[in-house]
Amino acid sequence: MKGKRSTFLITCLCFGFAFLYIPIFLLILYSFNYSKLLPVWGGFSTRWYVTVFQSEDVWDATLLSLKIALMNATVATLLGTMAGLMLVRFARFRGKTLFTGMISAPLVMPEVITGLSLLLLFITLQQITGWPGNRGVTTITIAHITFSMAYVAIIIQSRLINSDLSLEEAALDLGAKPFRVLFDITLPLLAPGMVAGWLLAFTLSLDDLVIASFVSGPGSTTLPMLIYSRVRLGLKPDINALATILIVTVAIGVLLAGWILLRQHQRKLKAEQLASQ
Amino acid sequence: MSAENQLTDFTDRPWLDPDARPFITLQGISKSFGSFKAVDNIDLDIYRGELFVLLGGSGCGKTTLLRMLAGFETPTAGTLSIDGADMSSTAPYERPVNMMFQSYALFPHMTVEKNVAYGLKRDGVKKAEIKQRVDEMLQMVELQDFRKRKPDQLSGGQRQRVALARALIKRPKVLLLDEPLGALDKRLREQTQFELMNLQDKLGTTFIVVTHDQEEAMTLATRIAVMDQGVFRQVGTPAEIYETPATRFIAGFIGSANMFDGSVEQQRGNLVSVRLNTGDLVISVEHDEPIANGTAVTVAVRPEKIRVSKQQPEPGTDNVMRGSVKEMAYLGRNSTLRVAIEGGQVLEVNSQNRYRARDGQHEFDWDDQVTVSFPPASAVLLTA
Repeated sequence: MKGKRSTFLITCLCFGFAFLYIPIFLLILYSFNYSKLLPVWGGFSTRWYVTVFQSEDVWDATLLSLKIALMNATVATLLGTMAGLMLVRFARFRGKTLFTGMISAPLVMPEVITGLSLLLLFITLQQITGWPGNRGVTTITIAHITFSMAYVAIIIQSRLINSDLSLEEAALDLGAKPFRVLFDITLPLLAPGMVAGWLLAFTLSLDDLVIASFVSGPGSTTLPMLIYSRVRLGLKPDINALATILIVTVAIGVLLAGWILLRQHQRKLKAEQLASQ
Repeated sequence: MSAENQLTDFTDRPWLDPDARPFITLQGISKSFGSFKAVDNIDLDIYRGELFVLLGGSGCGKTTLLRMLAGFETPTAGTLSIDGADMSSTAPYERPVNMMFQSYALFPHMTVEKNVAYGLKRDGVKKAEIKQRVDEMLQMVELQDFRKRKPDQLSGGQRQRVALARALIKRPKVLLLDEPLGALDKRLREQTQFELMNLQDKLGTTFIVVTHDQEEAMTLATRIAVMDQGVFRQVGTPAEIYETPATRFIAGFIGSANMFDGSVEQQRGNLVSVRLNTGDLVISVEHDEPIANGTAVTVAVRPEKIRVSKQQPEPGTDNVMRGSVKEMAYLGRNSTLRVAIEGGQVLEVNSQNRYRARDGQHEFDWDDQVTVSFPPASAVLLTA
């Protein structure tokens, strides 16, 4: 195999990448299309970007989505960490296996069902207690928390299972009460997992269309909902521009995360070198 | 040391003193996990300033016992007291005990300095005093120059010393050490063994060490408890356990021993004649207690207590056996021989290499005809 690479493998690779990236590439290309008609190339232009930035709808939807994502990520990280901690660190209790299984149910539940059931819950609640008066930011946030919390719990759970229990025991042994141990040892060591969970919850929320559509009300349109409703009225190039902005933002985020991880890895290597001297 | 002195001077051997008050007392301590009995009804007294070693293979219950002393496990039955205070249901953070973990359990997000200071900080000691005590402690373990490093920037030996410093800074009444030298390489381990002993001597803290390494136990311990299947098989000084093992298990577990199975033929004074089950051999062993004729016994002899020679032994030598060398391992300082004697049993014998071996010529070699012998005082008679 050395030297001469298999043509078959290279072909597979090319097809794979083409399949993944040609649609995205086309989308970016057409966002710079001057023509108003989608399939007709009318020359290079940035006019659709100007349109997007001038559109109040887009700004409102983006801000709403960010607001919901921020609240969702923060609350879901808190709740998910608590659930993960309890699932791993607590002694066996009745129904622990059932609970462990149930926490991951939202991951496999079809979104339509999650959305529908939450909508029913909110309607019932409204009839009984009068709350929530009208559906909007609050209901979308609550709905997002219910499913993204499960993801956080699972990330925390896997980090805890792999962590060294004797660290917490050592702190207890040195005179720290259990609550103190949580803040001095457990949580600082969980921090990377919590950050990962927060980021995941954030993107899950930014991404979601189905559940948000079920539980939103008039006047609360998230960014995915806006894009979807505009496309339904006919493809317009300004949506391409909006999508390209989103792609670039995500790409920068991914590159940044990769760079931070690389730096951490290099620092760790350096530390090991220092230790062996 | 004179015989009279041995009877009255208990400073180094408080367990022999009938008036000494034990520092740590375990009474009927048991711990079960489901139907598995990890520790089974153990009684033990440990005295102030001892370096007590719990020795046993994996799964023998030694770590569980240590964890009960630290407070991480609650005994299923029995009571445990330290310095007169009952500790059976005291939380780990309230015990006058600190532990050095096998994995060291250094907090990875804290510097060496912060790791060592943690215990004092939790006790609410004043900042200036913390600083001074941490300085002293780091000086003692010779890590002053590493105070700002994180644990992953330290070598194995340095981490071990940080763990030790962290466990000692609160000046615990008892220090528990779980396989303290397990993660170090051989040379460092030997060096650290002596450092640990010096430290214990200087501080006078009671140390309880768990290990599976019998050599480590022999070097460190004032007393050893050999553990197996949740119970103590024998408790005694290293010399007692090595020279007068209580059972076949102990004799085989600590060091190596040649075991001869046979039955008592007669006892004359403190000399017992034992007829072996294999071969037509009678060996004589010193044994002080009376023993009935016909009792099934085992005679255990350590490899280094057997003399091996190519010459005929002088007349009157006890326990002479003829055999041939089946295997030989040259270890430099000495050689280990496996000698097949009449009757087919193979003995392990150590021979000091008193002469330089040149051109690959050793004193003993494969298939050499030899005689082995040992005096009656060198063998132990075991009935269990």
